[in-house]
Amino acid sequence: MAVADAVWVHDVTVSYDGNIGIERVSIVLHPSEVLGIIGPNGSGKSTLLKTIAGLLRPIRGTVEVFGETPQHLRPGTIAYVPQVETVDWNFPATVWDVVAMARFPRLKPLQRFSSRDRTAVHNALQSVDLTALSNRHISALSGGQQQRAFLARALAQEPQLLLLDEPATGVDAATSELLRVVVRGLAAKGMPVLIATHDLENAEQWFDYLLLVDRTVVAYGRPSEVLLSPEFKRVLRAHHHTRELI
Amino acid sequence: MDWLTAPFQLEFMVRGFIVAILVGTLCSVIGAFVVLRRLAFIGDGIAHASFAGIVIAYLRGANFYLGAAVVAVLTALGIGFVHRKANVSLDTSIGVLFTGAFALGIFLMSRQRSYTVDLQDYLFGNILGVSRQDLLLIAVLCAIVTVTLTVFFRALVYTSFDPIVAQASGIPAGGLDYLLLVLLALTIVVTLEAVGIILVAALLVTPAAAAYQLTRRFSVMIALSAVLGAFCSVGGLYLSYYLNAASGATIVLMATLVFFAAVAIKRLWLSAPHHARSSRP
Repeated sequence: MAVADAVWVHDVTVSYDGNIGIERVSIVLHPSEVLGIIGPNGSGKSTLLKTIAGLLRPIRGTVEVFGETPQHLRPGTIAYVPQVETVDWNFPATVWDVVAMARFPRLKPLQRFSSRDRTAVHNALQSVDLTALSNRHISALSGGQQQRAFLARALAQEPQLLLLDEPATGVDAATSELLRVVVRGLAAKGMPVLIATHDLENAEQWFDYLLLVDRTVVAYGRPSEVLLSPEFKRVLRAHHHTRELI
Repeated sequence: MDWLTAPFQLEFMVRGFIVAILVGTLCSVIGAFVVLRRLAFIGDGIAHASFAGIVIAYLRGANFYLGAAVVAVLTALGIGFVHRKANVSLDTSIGVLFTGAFALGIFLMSRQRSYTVDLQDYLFGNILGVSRQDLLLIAVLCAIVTVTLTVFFRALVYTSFDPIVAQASGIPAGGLDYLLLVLLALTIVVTLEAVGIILVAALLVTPAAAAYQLTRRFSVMIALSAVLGAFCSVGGLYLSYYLNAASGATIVLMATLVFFAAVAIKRLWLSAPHHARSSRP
């Protein structure tokens, strides 16, 4: 891989509960790039994200993040933002508590939560406009606020790679726009970002590149190219019974 | 105030109270993780499985705690292993392993022509039967569990809330799961003689569940759980002394009452006018 590559996925196959999740996938992501991963349900979008996050191990091929396998990176390097339904929002924690968890991977056992850590949490809350709610219990958040809290947690981690799974699904337009602005701002400062998404509205404003997957890579390019490509139309036709992707 | 100090005239009562405070606190602290990670059934299963270890230790003339600890830890790890490798659900894995180990204990015991009743102490608990040597062992195990919990506290909290994101950020979530199971097994073994195999799960779950009603922050929950656990253990032991009842059962009943009191307090508090605007959705 070239030194400038942030993420390098080469010929990767991942099986998931005995089934093939993605097959022979190769992608490259550079710093400052926002890559959208699109595809029908079960096409392997989440599997690809989880593999890059080091949560799944490929049975074939190589995954490197900044030249290392994901499992060997310094703690805190990758921030993964899952869909909000993946956790129990009745967990006894305030918004501040959840965002502060992002600092835990960097802290040694018994090491104090420093003013540097507090500043990172504070700034993260501010950039997603949640400062006023920082003492609120997480069960009292709306869907959009939950998604913003998750993004704030990722920001407080001060990662070098950001992975988002369906961030704009089920959130209001204002939140969606705020997420987009934050993500573009991070990319402008050099952060590589990978986003699995169903939402193709404003794709040109969200993404630098789109990757169309259907278990393997079907198309890759600038959003306008991919969305007008015959491959996209073919996948769309094949999955016309599902309403997503439209 | 004589009634307060009267039990302390007896050395075994003093030891009983020390054990009550130790296990009441320890169980309720780890119980906070048990409640939030939904491990109550695992706790019950490990407790039952440890019976096999006690019987084996009895037959071999070995230390009961050691026998129970070995089988409890092996069962805890086995439950995780079977769940992952045999691809069965966690509660199925628990159901298979703990009944198997418990049956092994009964099988071995039934083949003995004469077994003394003291094995029953482990089924129903006998906090007043704790010897000096036992007390020392309990204190050491408590110290080990407490130190380990303190060192890994933040990582355990993070993986309890969101194991996937914690792991992606570099926290070894899978290893911490096994660590917590081992700590849980040791805690259960320490608690066996106090309340007995059948009732151990109550001390793990009930004070923590009561604390969960009363707070919205994890650090407060764990502290409150510890206080409630110690209070119920000591209070239950007092009551059992004056009511001439089984200590383990009295302690657990006391915790059950505290739990329902906490539920009532929460409902009253939520319906109070000052709170009407900001209640949970």
